[in-house]
Amino acid sequence: MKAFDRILLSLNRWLVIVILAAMALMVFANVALRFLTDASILWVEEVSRYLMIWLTFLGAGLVLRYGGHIGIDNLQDAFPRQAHFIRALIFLLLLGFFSFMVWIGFRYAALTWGQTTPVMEIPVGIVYLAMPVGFLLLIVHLLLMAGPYIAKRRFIVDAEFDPESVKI
Amino acid sequence: MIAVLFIGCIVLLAIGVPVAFALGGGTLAAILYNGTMPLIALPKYLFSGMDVFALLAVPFFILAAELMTGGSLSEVLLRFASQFVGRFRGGLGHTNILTITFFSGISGSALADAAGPGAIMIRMMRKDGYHPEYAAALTAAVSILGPIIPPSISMIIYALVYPDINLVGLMVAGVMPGILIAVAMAIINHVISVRRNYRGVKQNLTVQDYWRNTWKALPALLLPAIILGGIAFGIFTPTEASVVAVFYALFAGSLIYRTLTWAMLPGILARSALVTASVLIIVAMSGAFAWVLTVSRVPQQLTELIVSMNLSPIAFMLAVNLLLLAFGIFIEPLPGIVVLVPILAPIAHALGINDLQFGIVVIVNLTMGMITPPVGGLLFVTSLVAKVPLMKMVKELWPFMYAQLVVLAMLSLIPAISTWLPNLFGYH
Repeated sequence: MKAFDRILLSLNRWLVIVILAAMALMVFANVALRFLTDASILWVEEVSRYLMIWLTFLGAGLVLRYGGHIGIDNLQDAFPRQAHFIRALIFLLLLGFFSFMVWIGFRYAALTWGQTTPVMEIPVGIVYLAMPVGFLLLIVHLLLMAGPYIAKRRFIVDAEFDPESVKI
Repeated sequence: MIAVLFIGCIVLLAIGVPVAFALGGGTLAAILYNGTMPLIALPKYLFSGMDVFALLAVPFFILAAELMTGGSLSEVLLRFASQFVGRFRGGLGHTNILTITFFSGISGSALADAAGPGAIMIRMMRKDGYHPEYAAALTAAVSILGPIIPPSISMIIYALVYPDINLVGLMVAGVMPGILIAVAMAIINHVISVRRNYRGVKQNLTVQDYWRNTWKALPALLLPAIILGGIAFGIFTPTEASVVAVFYALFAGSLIYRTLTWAMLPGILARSALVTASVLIIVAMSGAFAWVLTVSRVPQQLTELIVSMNLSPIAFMLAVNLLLLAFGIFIEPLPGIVVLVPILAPIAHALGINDLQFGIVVIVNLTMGMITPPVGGLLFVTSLVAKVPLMKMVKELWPFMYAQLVVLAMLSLIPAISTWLPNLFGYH
């Protein structure tokens, strides 16, 4: 289980790194091209938008592991003795919501599979799949963190990501 | 249905469900309760809320600020700022204010300011004999400039949820209010430094030193000029400016200042990607939330109601400010923007309040919430760096907060502070 978790975290991390790097490279190339030649690659705007959507849903699970989704923790702080019951409730609510999103997400992707995107003419379902896949990943991360989270509100801690940094 | 939407979201938020999923869950509850709305609308509007090219500026500005910090550009800016204000009383405090003000012209978020130049300044001020609580409080207070001086992630999201506003105009509108806040913070720093005898830094700078510091800082100083100038003069769209900033920071950090190494890149990219995901998942969920609001005609009805009350714009401004201040105590600016702006901005518009002025007031007010205890994002970061207990630091914050409230009142009463500069560039 530990080995599986380590591989999952590492894969998930590299996935978001590559997506963000690809987005930056292609949008920059397009700006440079527009300035130098007055032309631009049509599909860049579309593909970079879709990559951003995938990045959001693939990254959401990792953020959850770090305790980086902003929320209001005052209730748990106010009732330290009952806090693990509150967190168990949050866990169940999240599990239910994530499961629903996986189901509706797959349905939506399947329903729209026949439509294609304006420029690339690929099935829009490829974009919409990001949501159910992302929420499936969220479920996996939620289950992996459940024990330490419910008992002690413990998340992954390392120097790379400070959960406070998401408060823009 | 609207009652279910709001009560659902508030209950979920109150027990501690993360904002993104509380918005999504509340929306789902409202759709289920209504019964006639198709469930499939939820993913549909969730995607349409985030499938916007302008949103790409969010990950890119986050990444640019991370690269700037990794490339030690903060230190260079700091030395540049210090040679002008360092010798005065409270000199390091003034250096802190000036450095963060420059950095805000590169970064789009308050936390990037506090974690980048802010963290370095707190350590320097400690070493120089400032009370660490004071150093932390000053840094937290000045860091609110991040989203006020352009570029600004808050403004990108604001323009997304209220498309009637011009994003470029809003960004240009943030410049003067940002400078005003910086000046207000400098006045407080001066008064307290005189009282506590925080001395200036002894400097024996020759003319050559000035030239050298300025020359070294030039690549870093150019970036805010490129971003703001490029956006204001219409050379770049904000999205283009953001990606130019990324590669400029990469170039300056690795080739000019030589502190940014390739080995640092995966970490920087991963951090930026996660911040992006946590911001955009809220934006996505709020797309569905806003759709339920619109279908049930809440913004329109509320607008009609308030317009029919014959409320004066000033009274409305006051009410909005009080509401937002109360909101800001409990919640971060981003959820405040996605939930409240679609409701409040059309009302303000109908009452004849300038869109740009209203946008600035909302963003300044909500960002101030990041330094109001008990849950201010900036408080945690700065108290951690300064190694001081949060409550001790809050005592030092009051003078700064009062000064910011005065600025907020000025922004609310005098539209010209926000609208003068964008009007010059033709944005209204």
